[in-house]
Amino acid sequence: MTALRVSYDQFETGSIRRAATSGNRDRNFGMDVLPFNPPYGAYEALSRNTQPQTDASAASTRTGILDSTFFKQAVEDMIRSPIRDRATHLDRVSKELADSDAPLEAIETLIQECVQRGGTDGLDIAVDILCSFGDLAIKYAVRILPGDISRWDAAREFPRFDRKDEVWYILLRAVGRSNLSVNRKFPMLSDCVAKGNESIRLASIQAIGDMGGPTAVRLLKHVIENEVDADIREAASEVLDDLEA
Amino acid sequence: MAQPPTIAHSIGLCTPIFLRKLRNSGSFGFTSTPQTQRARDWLDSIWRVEPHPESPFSLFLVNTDDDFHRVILGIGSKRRSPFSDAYFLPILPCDLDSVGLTPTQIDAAELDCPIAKRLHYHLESNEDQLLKLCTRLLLQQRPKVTLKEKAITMLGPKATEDGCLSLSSSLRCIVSGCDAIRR
Repeated sequence: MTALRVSYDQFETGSIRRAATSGNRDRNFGMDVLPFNPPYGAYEALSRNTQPQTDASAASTRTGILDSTFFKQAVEDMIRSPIRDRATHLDRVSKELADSDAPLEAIETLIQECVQRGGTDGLDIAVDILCSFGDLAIKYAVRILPGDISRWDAAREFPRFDRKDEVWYILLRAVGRSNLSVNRKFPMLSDCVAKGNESIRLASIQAIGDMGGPTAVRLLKHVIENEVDADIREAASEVLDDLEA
Repeated sequence: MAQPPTIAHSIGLCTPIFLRKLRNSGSFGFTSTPQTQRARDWLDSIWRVEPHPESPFSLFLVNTDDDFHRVILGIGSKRRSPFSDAYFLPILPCDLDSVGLTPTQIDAAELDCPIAKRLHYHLESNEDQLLKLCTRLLLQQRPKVTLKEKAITMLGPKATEDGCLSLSSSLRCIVSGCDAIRR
């Protein structure tokens, strides 16, 4: 895959080139694509971690399984908790995630539990926790990106609901709300708004609104000018109105 | 300038109105999806989320702006920020009647605000009824209700003044008919 992508600096200095082809609007900022920072090198490094186990690593894995069982239980307790106890459970899961030796696996557990068993509040709960772990959310997104990007392409012509898009909704909103720098958030949000299916693009636009600031305003204006899909343009206009109000 | 949410402005339908909370704005789907497919997608994106099928579906009934505000704050009380964005699918009683559905009032045990609790309903439905309901709402081009953080935040001062228990800082609600005390 070509590693060309629009950077925050390119966007801010206005050096992104406009797509020359008419009828093919510049939704992808004139660049070939993806992936966001850290690029595929990080994904490959993560993949290399699956080496044959030694005795020591097997023991470590057993501890990991135990940890993940406790973490899963903590997440389940949080989902089922009454509102008066919710903040305590959110703090507990956040602390366990912060202390985890396998944070990406913990994030996967958190997201899967919230998506599968969290009810109408599940996505909100996961966003509320992960927004304190913006950097990890980006790393997890980089990890799952290769499995999803072809699905996004396939869903472009015929958008359908897919529960996997809810995972990306959580990641995008969490990154948008995190305290990471704009420079750090920008690649993921701009790449997803350019290359995602409709659901991903919508979540990206909301995350850009969460990010706020002048860069978000310029990015949303760019989307409004170049987006073909009316639903997405409308969503970007709503978020922009909200930011400028 | 953001305005506090009202039924007239935010929903634009005649009361009473049932509200089904959406997990996110994408749950509502996209106009480019063929309607029959979108109705099927709604079964998964709007209705069949856990704890269903073990539990019936949750709805809130609003008759007045005050009801609406209580529901918004009650649902917001589950978040780290009680004023976070919220999305709803509005459903009229005639929509439910048309597919033979009748919601039952059941207090929302998880909410702290007694008024919001009482506005909670359970809906028992089979898949065929739900699909017919989704199709009807799509044919009528029922819009989703989008409530932005800035608008919801405007409910904060009054809720604080009232002592609404949906705010974690409140200890006692002074609203007549509520008078709830945090225990």
